[in-house]
Amino acid sequence: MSHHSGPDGGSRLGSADQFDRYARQTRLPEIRIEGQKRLSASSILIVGCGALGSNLANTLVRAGVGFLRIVDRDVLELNNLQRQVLFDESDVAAGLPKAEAAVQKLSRINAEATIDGVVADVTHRNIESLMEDVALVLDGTDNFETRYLVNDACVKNGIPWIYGGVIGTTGVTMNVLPGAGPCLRCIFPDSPPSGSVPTCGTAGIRNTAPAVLASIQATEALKLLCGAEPSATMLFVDLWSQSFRQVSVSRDADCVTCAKRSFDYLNAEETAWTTTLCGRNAVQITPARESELDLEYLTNSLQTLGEARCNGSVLRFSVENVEMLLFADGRALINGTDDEKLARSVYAKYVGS
Amino acid sequence: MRIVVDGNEEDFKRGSTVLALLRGRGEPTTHIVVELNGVFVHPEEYENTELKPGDRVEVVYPAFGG
Repeated sequence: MSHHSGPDGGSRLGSADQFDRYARQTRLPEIRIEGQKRLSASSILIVGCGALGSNLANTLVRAGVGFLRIVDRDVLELNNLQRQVLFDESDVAAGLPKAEAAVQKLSRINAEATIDGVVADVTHRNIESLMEDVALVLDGTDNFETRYLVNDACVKNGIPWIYGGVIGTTGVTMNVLPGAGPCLRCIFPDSPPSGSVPTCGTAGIRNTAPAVLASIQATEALKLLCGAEPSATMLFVDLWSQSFRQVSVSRDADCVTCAKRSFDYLNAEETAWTTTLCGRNAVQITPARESELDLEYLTNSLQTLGEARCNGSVLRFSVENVEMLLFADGRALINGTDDEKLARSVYAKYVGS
Repeated sequence: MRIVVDGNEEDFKRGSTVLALLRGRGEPTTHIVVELNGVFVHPEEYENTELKPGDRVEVVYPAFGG
């Protein structure tokens, strides 16, 4: 499901000069008018609209990136407001999906930008179409599976991407420049065992960490989009101890992805699967094939069985001590359980297999 | 032999490898970043990289949330 906003023939604020709003930026020798024009002509994809993604989108749309596609599978919750800068209480009250709320907010920040918000889980089925026509991909994800998938797709298609991760008061970022430097699997060859890596939900996060880390990612994005030399190191940040550390990482000559060009995550088999969302007491159900569900019709049907309501984008259904959030493409988030069998059973019972 | 790990001098058996060091300290051996004398060590090389007296090892723990 996609939500769009586009330029409405210039700023609503009536400026005579196209670049007036960027006056403080075009003074910089690294940008100038030429760089600003390049930004206006740039297209980027941000994967995930949580703490990192919302900060990235906010910064880069304000900086004048012409086209942004932002994709996120999730719906806003109150605890997001502590660190996800694009959203406010009214967005949470409306029960909006993050990507939809992001389009609304970003279009009010800069009407000159075209924003394509996609409410979807990023999978091997859609990652390459999401990346179509973009020059750069930015990491706003919170899990390995998606990062490895983005890595596969970007290395395969020769598109640079900027890895970013945060937890607690720390963050890390690295530019992946296909053919010119290490990819993510040069550094982390294998997926970690489930539950072995802390998440923001389990370990916590200070809101300053994603703000700083996303600013560093965005700075690298601006360098790449303006034709400046990006950083070649992996940068570690710890805000509590005020330490910044660069590691000179290098390519692995035997890397399964960028050397052997075996794209395991991109070439995954077509199966339905469930994913327990770490630290969230929730399970995501992704059917094998995308559907086009009539959510309003389903809401009416389910109202006789439990509490059901729909805001157009998401159907919320409370039953059997869980809450199901159902999207039009058939994907569902089952909140209130980390039992995948129970989650599948609820889905099969009320949506079908 | 004495080597420096994360800024602290420690004793290790001669012939120890990076992998043995990590396991001996109860450290995770994946999804970390290791530098030996300021040079990045690829994960597949942990078990083949032998430590020498005076070596400096730094272990950094990347974040993966977002």
